[in-house]
Amino acid sequence: MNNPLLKIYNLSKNYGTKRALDTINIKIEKGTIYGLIGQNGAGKTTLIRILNKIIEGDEGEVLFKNKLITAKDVQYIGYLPEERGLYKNMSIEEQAMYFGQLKGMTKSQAKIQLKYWLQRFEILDWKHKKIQDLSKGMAQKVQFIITVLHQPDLLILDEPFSGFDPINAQVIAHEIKNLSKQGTTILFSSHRMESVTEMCNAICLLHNGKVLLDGSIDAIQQKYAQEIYEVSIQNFKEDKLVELMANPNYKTTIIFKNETILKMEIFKNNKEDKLLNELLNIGKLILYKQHVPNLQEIFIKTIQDA
Amino acid sequence: MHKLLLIIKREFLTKVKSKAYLVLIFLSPLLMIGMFSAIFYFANKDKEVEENPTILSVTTSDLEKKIQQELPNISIQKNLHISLKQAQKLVDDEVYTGLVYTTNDKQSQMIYGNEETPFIALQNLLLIQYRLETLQKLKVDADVIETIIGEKQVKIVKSSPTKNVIKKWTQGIIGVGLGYLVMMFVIIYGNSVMRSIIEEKNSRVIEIMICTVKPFQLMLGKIIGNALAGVLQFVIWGILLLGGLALLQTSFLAETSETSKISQAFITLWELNFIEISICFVLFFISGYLLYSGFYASVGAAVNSETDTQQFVHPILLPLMFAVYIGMITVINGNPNGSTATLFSMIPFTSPIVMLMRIPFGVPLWQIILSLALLLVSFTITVFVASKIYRIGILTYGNKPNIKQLVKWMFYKQ
Repeated sequence: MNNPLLKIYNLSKNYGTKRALDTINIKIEKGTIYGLIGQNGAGKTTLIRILNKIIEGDEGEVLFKNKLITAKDVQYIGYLPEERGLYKNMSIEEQAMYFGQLKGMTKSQAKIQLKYWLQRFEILDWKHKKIQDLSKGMAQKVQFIITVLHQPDLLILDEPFSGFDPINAQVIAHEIKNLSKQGTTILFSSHRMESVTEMCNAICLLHNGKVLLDGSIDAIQQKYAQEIYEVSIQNFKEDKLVELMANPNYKTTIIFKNETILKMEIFKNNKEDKLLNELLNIGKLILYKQHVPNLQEIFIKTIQDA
Repeated sequence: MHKLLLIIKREFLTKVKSKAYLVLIFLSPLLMIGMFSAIFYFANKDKEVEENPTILSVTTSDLEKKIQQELPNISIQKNLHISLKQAQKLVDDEVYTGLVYTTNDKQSQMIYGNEETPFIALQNLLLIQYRLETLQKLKVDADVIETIIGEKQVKIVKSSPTKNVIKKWTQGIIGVGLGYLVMMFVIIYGNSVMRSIIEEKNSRVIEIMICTVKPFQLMLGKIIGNALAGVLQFVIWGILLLGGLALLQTSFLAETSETSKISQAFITLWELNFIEISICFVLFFISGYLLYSGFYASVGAAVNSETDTQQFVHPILLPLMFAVYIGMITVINGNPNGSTATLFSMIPFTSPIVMLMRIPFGVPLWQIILSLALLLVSFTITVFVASKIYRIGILTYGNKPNIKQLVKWMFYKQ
């Protein structure tokens, strides 16, 4: 994978004295689903607005298809904002024609694409309905269609599943993955870590305008997995347990303990590989599992340590 | 350019397809015509009553006969069986317009009544009758009496307004109408732009729009789209108005003589240069609207709901209302080509209204061009300033900003 669609170099943005983005460096490979995570106010919206050319960065540069991004490139970008909105008194078809043409499509191209997507979502009969007559979930689907109608190369989705019931969220997730398979690059901004884990190949964690984590989810999880172990021991020796608890190389927390079984969580402070031997001395080792933290835990830990 | 046209088209179609627009176009003129017709009807009805005074006669039958002969427009009610006091009370109670009272020997005579009573004519009649009877009593020769009494009476003719006065009034009414219409259009369509922006902001569709088009394009598209809907409304109203007037004229001329005030007014009306007036109206409406709509757009972008607009809209309305009053005072009641009227028809914030009020009286072309040029410069500045506020305002939610913040936004870098 060495074909980045989007490269961001040393990008900074200030609002008065507040530094919204601080020398951001990101590469997003073509066809990937790239998660953008961070707390409220971390700088996600500012970054998305710069990519959409709504605002300009103060320093640094954004390369889109290896060229400095310009206002013209916006027609290759589709943006689904967190706060959804469409013209309430326009029909689905009128809306699609309007936004499609604004994104550089011809009327007939927009019509073909609209038909394709309405059929895919099985709502072809609804095309003359006005947005004000649709349910929230249905309007969300229409919003998704409007976003992808012009077949963008980069799709920016801000909390794409909010407002969807689990079944429709699954339908949308399937379509997003499908688009990714077809070569669309997706920037996926969300607070819901389980959906980021499920959807994304790589992530970037923003905090106070800085990138704290960047890379593939597997690599990040592997990095954090080296530290914590879940352990269960049967018929344990109390004196050996006291010895382990006092060992400064480990930070040991007892999770459960009765006369026959002991469950612990051990955080290893050094890189030496003596832990397993020491555990075998305590009793009959029935579980020794390296804890692979989920994204939620990594997120919280990274923010707390920052 | 293509995107701007798409935005203009959407704004225009959304506006003209709305029920409110259709009501405004077709129902408003009907209501206005209905209102003016009612006023006209009742005013004329009252006038008819007032033009035929009813005089209570407490006098001799020969005198009464004389009054009926000489003043056929007066209806006489005879009642010889009441006292002078009772008769006066009937006039005071407005049962009769006036009262002619004489004793049988004509030693005591009185004319009592309100301003509608033809005092001089009645006084003449009473005097002539008194002289006649006195001379007859003195046995003066009939020929002499005839010579004295039959002397030629002085003819009294009330003056009627000259053609020039009617012309001035007609031009004035047209002028005020045009100025008032511009004020109304600027307020209606300025508000429409503001509401449309608030709606886009509230429905968050603005987020999608501004990543597709530049904020300036979006604002300009909205302003132009609404302006076109305004011009269309003006064209329809213009056609309806001229058609209505032509219809009114034919129905009036059938009843009244050519020299009447109304036909004079119509003659003046058709003498006006409607092409010049229409072109000027469209140009001044568009320029004035562009000047003010920038402010309306900024307000729409700055606030979160329509209820927050009051404090900002009020300062926009003041110069518009000031222009209408200045126009009425200087143009209609004063001199349409005087220095005050000319000055205010050059100042951009009042010129679209004051200049249009002057147009029916005839304005030198150079003044029209200068006024339009000043408006062009002004609205370019206001639209530019408005776009600065707009691009920040549309992405700002939450707190209601104040004027100080709006000024700050003008200088923000994005």
